[in-house]
Amino acid sequence: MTLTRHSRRARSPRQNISFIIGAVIVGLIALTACISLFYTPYDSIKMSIEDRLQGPSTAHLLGTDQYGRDILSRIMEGTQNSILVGVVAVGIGMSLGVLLGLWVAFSSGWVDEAVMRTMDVIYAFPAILNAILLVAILGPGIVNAMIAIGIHNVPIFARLTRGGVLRAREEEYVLAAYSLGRRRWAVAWRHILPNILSSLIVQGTIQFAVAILAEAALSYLGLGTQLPYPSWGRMLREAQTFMGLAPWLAIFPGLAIASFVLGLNLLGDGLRDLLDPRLRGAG
Amino acid sequence: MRITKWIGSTLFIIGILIGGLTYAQSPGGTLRVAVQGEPLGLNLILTPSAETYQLIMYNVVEPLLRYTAEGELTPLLATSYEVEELEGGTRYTFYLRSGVTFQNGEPFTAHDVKYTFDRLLDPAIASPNAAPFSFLRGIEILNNLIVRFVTEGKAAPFLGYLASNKGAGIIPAGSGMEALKTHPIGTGPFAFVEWVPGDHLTLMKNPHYWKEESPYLDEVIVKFIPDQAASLAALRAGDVDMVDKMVSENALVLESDPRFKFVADWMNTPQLLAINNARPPFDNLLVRRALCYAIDRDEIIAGTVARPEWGRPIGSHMSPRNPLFYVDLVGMYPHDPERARQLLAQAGYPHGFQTTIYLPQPFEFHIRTGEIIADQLREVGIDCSLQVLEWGQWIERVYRQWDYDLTVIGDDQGVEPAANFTKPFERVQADGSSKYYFQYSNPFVRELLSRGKETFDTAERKTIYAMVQTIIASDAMAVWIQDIPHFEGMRSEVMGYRKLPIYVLDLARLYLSDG
Repeated sequence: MTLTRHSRRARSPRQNISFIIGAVIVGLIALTACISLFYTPYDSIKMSIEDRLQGPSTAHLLGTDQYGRDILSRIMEGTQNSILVGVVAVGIGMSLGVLLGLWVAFSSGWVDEAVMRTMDVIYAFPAILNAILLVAILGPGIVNAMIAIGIHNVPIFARLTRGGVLRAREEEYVLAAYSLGRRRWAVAWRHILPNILSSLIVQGTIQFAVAILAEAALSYLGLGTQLPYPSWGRMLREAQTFMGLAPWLAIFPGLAIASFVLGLNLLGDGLRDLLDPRLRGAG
Repeated sequence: MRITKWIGSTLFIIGILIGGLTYAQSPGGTLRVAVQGEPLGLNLILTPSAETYQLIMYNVVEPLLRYTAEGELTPLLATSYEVEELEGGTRYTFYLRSGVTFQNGEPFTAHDVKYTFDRLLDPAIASPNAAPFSFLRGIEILNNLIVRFVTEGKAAPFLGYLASNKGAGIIPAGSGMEALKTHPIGTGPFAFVEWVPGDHLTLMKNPHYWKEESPYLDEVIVKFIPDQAASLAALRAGDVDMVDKMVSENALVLESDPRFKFVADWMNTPQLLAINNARPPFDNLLVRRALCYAIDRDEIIAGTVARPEWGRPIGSHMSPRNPLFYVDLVGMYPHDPERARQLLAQAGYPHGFQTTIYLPQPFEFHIRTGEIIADQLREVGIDCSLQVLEWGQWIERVYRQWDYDLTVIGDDQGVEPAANFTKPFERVQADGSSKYYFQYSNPFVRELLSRGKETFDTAERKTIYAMVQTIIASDAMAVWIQDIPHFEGMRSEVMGYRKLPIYVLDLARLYLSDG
């Protein structure tokens, strides 16, 4: 595989810090998800009504909810949810989007026009609205939520891919590969794709954050993760009734969502700077 | 000396007058009430909507009779009545109140009564509220202030229907049905002023109201605030003076604030885990009884109501809020998971089974109850998946198509059993199977209920409805949980509020004290 080498430019400390902080946050959350597969302080679904609405204490580090369930355990299990949704939604969006983008970039004019205008229509709607529309058609539930958010991601990756391909097509190494008789798809796969990989990865982290927010919004509306499984968005919804009595029911899931999204955005920013193709040397 | 005495007695009299005035209801003022549900239309003949009913009934339109807070029938537009039994029917003669005018200035007469019921029962209009009056054979006007109804059979519930049926509020003769949707007119203490959909509805004091010194308030502005956190915030910020039907958690927040108070009551709406009696395994009595033993009402109340003492467990399809007919059957199925498992094993499910509970959006109270129930049923081996349905979906799937296993819902009752209580048991198909979503069919119960409609003897009616409640509980037709608590939050200066045993917000009694 021919990858153009690039020389690392000296980075100012500020840009590296984004990446580090982002990576730490995302790493911690991923670690929590792994741990929660085997262990949580309490069963996250089992109710214990007599312990309801307790504030943070040594027995329950983040307090208990309206049914006496341990909030820390529910937030830990909620990380599984969020990561799963992010991975699947970005996975669907990236795989379908990249394939579409590649196909369209190598196709004739009217195919290009038709597909990209369709993508524009999907893209015109805000992520959460798209997700709600699709879930309304497919029905509520976490699987459909993942599909809905994934479908929203397709235009984004398609455009990115198409743009990257159209740019790269004019590069010398690509023209050289054609002149050697390589076929279009081989060129795409072996020469072009690796060069747009970096922008795809960065976009992936951004879309991951969007997916987290969209899943939280869907669960908040009751369209995502179904009862009684923990989801940060649904926890926020249930916490609303108790805002006056027990604000910690809302604070901790809210902090979890905010931290994860912040971490992903910082990670994306940091990655973008690290992988910036403009800073590469000539191939 | 004489002057001193004169001054003294004058001051004394003035003192008494001032003292008297501060204890009397001070008239005037505007009350802003936050209400969760907005009406879709204001014509009670055309709509079954509880949101319309609670605002318009008794406030804008008035029926011939009304219920007091204790559930007693008292005269309203009819000052008295006579009941005569005829051959195969009964004749009810009502003597109407004189000197009453509608809010548009037209005088109220027997012609308006006849017009109202003609529209209510008009098949072309197909009112959703007409069915209970199917026993009406005719309405006669004897003179301007005497109207006569003839019914088939005794029609014992008729007077209760007149006081509470949604379509029983009298409208002016000649009123167009469409016009009343956006501008209701009646004889009530409040006249309709305006309705800004999505925002508010305004009522003002009816200056021609027939009752002296009523209502006290000059104006009532009803604001539509569906979100409970928002209505609590509005109350505390001074944007509204009263919040209708607060959740118990918000009532708890108000408790510690001396600027506010709340009135705790019950809605006279039994909450139940409804069972599809026709669908296996729930067609098996042992399985239904197992459900009853598996459920812990006290734990549900602890998990859904902010203070356990504000909850009220029930054992059958009526609430203690019904002063006349309720019987206490809470003790029939105490919480006993072991017994539940035994019954399941006897029924052929020693390892339990899987089922789905449908929960109606946006009734958070029922959704929370459903979550707790699922947890309790899991203990006895019944694995429930919870599915939240939009209200429209719930109506379609559960209420209309009977396509469900279990669901949690509230069933609004009134005082007159034949108005709501009897509905689930009376609707049958030609082969005797039930036409109601409970899918429960018991010919003996039907027999009892038709007897209940045919006797005026209160003691006999009490016995009949007591028997029905006992039979359906023994048959474990459903698992009854609690009467839904009702909290009215308000500023401390708002006085006179009392919850009626029907879903009506009684505005005429309210006044603002000078604090």
